[in-house]
Amino acid sequence: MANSLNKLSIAGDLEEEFNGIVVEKGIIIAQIWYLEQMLILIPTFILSSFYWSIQMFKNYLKTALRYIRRRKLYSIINIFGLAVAMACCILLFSFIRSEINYDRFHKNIKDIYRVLFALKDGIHTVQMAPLAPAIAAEFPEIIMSVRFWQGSSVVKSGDNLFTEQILYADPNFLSMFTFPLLTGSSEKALVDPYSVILSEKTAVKYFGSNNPLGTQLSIKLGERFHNFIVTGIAQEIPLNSSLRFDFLLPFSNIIHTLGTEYLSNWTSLATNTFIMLRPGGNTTGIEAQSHEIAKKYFSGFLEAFHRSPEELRFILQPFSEYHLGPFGGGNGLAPHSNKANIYILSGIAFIILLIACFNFMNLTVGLASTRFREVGMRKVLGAGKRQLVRQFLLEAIVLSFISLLAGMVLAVLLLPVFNSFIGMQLVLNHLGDWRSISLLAGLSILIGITAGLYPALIQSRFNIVEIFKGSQKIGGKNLLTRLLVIIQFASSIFFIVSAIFMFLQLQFIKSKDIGFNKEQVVIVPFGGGWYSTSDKEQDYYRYKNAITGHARIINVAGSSKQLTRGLSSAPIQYEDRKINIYYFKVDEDFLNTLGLELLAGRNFRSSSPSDKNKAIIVNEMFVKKLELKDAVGKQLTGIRLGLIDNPVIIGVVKDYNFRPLKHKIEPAVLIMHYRRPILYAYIKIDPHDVQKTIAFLGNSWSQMFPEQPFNYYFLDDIVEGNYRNEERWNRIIGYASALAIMVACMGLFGLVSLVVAYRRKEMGIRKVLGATAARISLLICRDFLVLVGISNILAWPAAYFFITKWLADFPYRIDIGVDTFFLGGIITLCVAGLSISYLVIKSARANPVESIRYE
Amino acid sequence: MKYLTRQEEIYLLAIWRLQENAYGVQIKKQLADMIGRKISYGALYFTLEQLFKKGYVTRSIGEPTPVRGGCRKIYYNLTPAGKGALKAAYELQKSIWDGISILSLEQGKIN
Repeated sequence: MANSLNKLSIAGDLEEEFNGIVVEKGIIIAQIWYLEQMLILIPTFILSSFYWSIQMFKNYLKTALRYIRRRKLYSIINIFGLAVAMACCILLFSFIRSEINYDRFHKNIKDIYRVLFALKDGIHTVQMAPLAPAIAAEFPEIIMSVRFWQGSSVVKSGDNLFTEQILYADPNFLSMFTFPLLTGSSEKALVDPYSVILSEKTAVKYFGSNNPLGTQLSIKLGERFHNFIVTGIAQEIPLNSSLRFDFLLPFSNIIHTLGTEYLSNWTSLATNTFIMLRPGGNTTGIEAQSHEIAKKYFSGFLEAFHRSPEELRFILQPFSEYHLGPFGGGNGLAPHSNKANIYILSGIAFIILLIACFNFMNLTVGLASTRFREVGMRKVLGAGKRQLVRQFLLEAIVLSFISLLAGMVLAVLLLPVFNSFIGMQLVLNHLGDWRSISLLAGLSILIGITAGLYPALIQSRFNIVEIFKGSQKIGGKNLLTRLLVIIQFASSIFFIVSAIFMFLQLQFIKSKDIGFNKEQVVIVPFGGGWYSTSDKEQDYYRYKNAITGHARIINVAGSSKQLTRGLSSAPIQYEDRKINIYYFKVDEDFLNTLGLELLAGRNFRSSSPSDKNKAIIVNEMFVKKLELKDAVGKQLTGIRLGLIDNPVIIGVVKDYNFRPLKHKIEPAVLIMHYRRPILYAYIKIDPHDVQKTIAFLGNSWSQMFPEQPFNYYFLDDIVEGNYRNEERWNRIIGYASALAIMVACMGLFGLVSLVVAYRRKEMGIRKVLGATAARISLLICRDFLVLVGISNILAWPAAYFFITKWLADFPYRIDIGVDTFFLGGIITLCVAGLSISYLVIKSARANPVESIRYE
Repeated sequence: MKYLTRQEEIYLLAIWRLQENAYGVQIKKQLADMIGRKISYGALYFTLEQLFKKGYVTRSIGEPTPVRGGCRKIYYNLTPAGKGALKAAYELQKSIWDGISILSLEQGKIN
């Protein structure tokens, strides 16, 4: 009703009546009346404009769906490509959501801070045990402080022994952090020092469906078993939590594991320290007092490390920033993540989305000529350019929504694969959340508009007369289409080349000689840690004696750490050179068992007391860095290593990679006389009858250590496990390249089918004039394959740049060979060629009679 | 048989009464006089549109005048169909009220 005619009439009526009222009742009353009339008219106009908009919308919707059904092939190509891209986006959203929401489930999260301090040499993420209560007492803003530490222990239940991770925490741990208890009271559960709280999973593991509240568990702390009563069961902890526990003990128990002095020791750093501020409090006041606190409490610690209180600065990191923040954590805090992961995955999803959108643009513009008549009719019937653009945009948005639905299904299907990549267990339950839905819907609309805008403009630009005359051509298709195809394939080539290089680098690393023999070496841990006393070593020696005689056991050695996993380092100064060295406690069989090559001097001899007290073996890098001539026999005066003053070098070993190949070889020292005990046995076994040998090792163990479970693993697994992260990224890029090239080739397929249809007559005539099927195929292919070739030019520099950056992290790297670039290009070319081969061959072999026939 | 609704009947009569002068402002005033209640422009034009669609009235567009701020008026006239419908409505009224007096309604007895 509110068309322009009526609207004008109403305007005039209002004017006329207004003038009448001015005369009758005065201008003010008239103006009020006018305003009133306007207000009354508003709903009418809104409703009537809606009415027509809705009518048009219904028409466009109908047209859009009809068109999609009519052009099934192209719609499927577009929908599938966009669905793949949407699935990537959905999975990416899940991931980002999970990362950003890490640890946010704690009710007090806004006020929880982690205590760190910075010295010149680095940031310390764990503190001394007495620090927490001390600063809580110093500052009234701190309403509570919590400490925790995690170590592994043996848990006995009935006749079963298990190695478990135990978290020791102050009793108010459950007040600061939100871990609701299924049974038991949060306030009282950790009050008794011999109480323990289990996680839901652990309760089931040990007690099945019985209620374990009040039952006793035996846990080995230090060297003795202690009895604990179960006082609570914690609800399953959310996946995105930096804190996890199976067993939760009161912090006071730490004296059994780390020694009675630990709670008052101001020099040993191991405890995670967290504080909670008053709501609305800030940390600047506390951080400003860093020097005072250091002076008051840290004097012993600072002296031992030759630092002054002014060099120390406290950092209070909001717990919510831990996961994606710059400072790592351990000893009970799960490792943090890297923001770069988010950026890289976002980049990949964006590129795939781009490829899908380009497909849509190319195909829609390519098909534009088939809609000339429709556009012409609509224009004749009164459609303006704006309405046409709106119509085509809506078609794009409808397609986008359909792709969204398909994409959601795809995302659910691909979830397990994605989870295995990022090592997480994401669940897509938040898809039901209205915020996510509206976000996705918005994204869908955005994609529809972005991809559809250009084609919409092209399709509405036609001149009516020329359409019906038949002389309307679509101009400008060629340049833009070609550009888009180039970008699509350049992205694919970039991914493929990167993936190949990453693969080659990983292969290189895995097969590189690391200087020691990692095959057939079983590692048996003896429990304990850096805090264990030297008596622990006796366990090792007893075990070694028991198993050495066995036929299949070639050699047994011991060390305080796992090779490539654990490190101790210290700065030393000799003469005027300062270097940083890594040192390892070993026994005399270490070199033989691991096949380390002595270049000069000799191995340790346990029979020689001077060896025990004075001898060290160094590696080549040590000699080089300290510029020692005649290293063997040299006494390093003025240096204390381990428990040895002025050690004597008795041998030089060939450099070996005691760290993963992402690090260069540094100076290293092998030492026998050191306060940390041997905690790992390295057992070289014969390759035959491995199972039997392992069984023998297990039996010997159980006989000797009935109270300790037997654990073992293989050294080569550990070494290879160091590269899990790199392997993961390799796989991600690999899949990304597969997806990218698949979507790009689908688009290419669509384009070629358009071209083939367009040039049917031309092909027919050529055939009649004598061209062979092969020549015709070539003719069609040539254009597109040239484009793919050109994409290489774009892709290679980008890949080169990316790969050099990635390889820069590796001191041992492959050469960037040109042949890999060619390989990537050729693979893409082949895949592209394959995808259009069917079409091309079919059209080349078509009967020219069919195509030239004039109906 | 399609009867006129009460509202349509009123509008058509108003237009008939106004003869040549049946446009927006006048129809609005006429209706206010006839019914005793004011109608807004939105409702007015909506109903006029419906009448037009049903074919009871025709439209003709007048000249712009300064008093209307330069806007045109739309004049409405009855079509033969409209007049026929009015006649039918009148006949209908007569036949259903036949023999009943207002007095009898007030007194409570039909006779």
